Amino acid sequence: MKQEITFRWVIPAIVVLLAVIGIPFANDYLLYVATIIVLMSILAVSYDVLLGLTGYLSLAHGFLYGVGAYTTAYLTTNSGWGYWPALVASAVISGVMGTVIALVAFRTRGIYFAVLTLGIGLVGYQLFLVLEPITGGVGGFIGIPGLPSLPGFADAPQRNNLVIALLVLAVAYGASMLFLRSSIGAACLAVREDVVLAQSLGIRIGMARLCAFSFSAVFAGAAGSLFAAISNFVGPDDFSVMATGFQTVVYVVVGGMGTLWGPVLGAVLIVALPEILRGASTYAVFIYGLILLFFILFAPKGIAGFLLAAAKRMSRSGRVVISKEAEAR
Amino acid sequence: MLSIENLAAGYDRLEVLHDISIKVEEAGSVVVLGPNGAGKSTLCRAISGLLPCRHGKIVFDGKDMTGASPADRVRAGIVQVPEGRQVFPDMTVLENLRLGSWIHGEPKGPDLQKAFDLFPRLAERRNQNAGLMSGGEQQLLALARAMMARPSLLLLDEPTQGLSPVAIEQVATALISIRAQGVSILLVEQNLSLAEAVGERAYVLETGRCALEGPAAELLSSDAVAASYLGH
Repeated sequence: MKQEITFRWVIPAIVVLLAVIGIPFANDYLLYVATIIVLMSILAVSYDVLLGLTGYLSLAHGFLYGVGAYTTAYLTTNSGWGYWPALVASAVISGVMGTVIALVAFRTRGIYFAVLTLGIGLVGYQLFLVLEPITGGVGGFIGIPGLPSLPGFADAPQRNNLVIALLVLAVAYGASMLFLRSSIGAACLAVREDVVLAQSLGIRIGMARLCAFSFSAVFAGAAGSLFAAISNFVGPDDFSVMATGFQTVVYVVVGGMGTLWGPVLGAVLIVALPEILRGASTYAVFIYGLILLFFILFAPKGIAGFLLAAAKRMSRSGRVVISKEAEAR
Repeated sequence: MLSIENLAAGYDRLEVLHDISIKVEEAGSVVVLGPNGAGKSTLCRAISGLLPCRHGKIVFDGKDMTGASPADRVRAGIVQVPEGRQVFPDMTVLENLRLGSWIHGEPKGPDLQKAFDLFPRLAERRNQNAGLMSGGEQQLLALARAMMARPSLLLLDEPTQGLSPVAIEQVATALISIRAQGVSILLVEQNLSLAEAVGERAYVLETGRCALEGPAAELLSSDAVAASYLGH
């Protein structure tokens, strides 16, 4: 427990440190990869609030990510909105969409919930293709305006992108921590552990998990919005169930469910790996598959579980006294 | 305080409870006895709202609660200790207790102190995972957690199930002091010794119907009850 709380601060501290040291020196390619990692981390952290806290596995989040991306694309390209209002609108619209989906999906549970959201993800992907007047159909949107420059970053757009993405990640991470500590977060944990027992404590179980779903949808939309502005292009293929929907689950599972910081590490590993393995591209997918197999079979608690076990072993050999301090979550 | 009138409830096409009427007085304590399959747990689930009523009425403190959600019933003061020592095993004792007071918002110092006064053992173990405690301690924790919701009626579903005689005695002591605080108790049990220690009025359920009703002391000592319904 104690180690967990430490990691909650250590991992963000390392991220900030790496950013401060690395950003001034990294080349454009590294900056781009880092930006994608941060985008995926935003998605992973907020998705962990749903999967890790409530135990409900949604495959509709690729679609919600797409809703955010298309909203920004449409508003900034067709309606002439500035980026920041478009970002907020994307988060809100994705949040509303997520709430509607949740109202339908939470009529089911377990594997049925996963399958139902899979269906929603598939339908959503088709909608991106079919609603041509809004989404541009197969061709998608081109020429989406980039992110506005922060003071001091006007001549380095890649650096600018990364810094803005990191700021949004900081907001997502902070909000997720607050959510986890809130009474709704406590209610979500109770619902995950035992629905009947949670009900007998007076917890409105529908409300708790609805909040978690909507919360994750808001940040999925924000991540999508950043993606649209950073890549200047949005097409349906980025938002299929297999592309983002499934990937998000992988980040969280490989990173370690319910820890918030674990999914960040998951996103780092899963996004960086194909880039590192580019030289051995014939084997890249093979190795990627092996790593997934390894985590599912031998480390079901993900990277976070690994690190926590190691930290526990170290502190145990250090001192044998059992701490009696009152320990808040 | 609680009045159940002509209640019927069940699962799918199977009706388990038929035409049950039970009354619990203000600060009173009622035991519902019956063999396995008589519908005891179904009754608890119907009162706490986990199972919808098919027929009849549940009135609590003068308000009709028949259609109320479980959450609303807890807020009104009907708090259930579910069957089978239900704790959150991976959470600490303290976290379990905090969830008990969830409806009142975040941690309540005085409530927590009251719970620890009632169950000093829990104070010692506050940072231990609930799943690592003995069965008796888990049952006491479930009881303490229910008290954190400040119930006016405590609903207990077979709290002695699988407990040692010593642990049963601890549960009985706790229930007696909870009653002394003015909390009404509705205890659904198979264990006669706890029923005797706590009950004031008793009802005997048999295949989903109220077979007998009367003062607990009288009913429980009658040979007929022991022999025919409880297999003693």
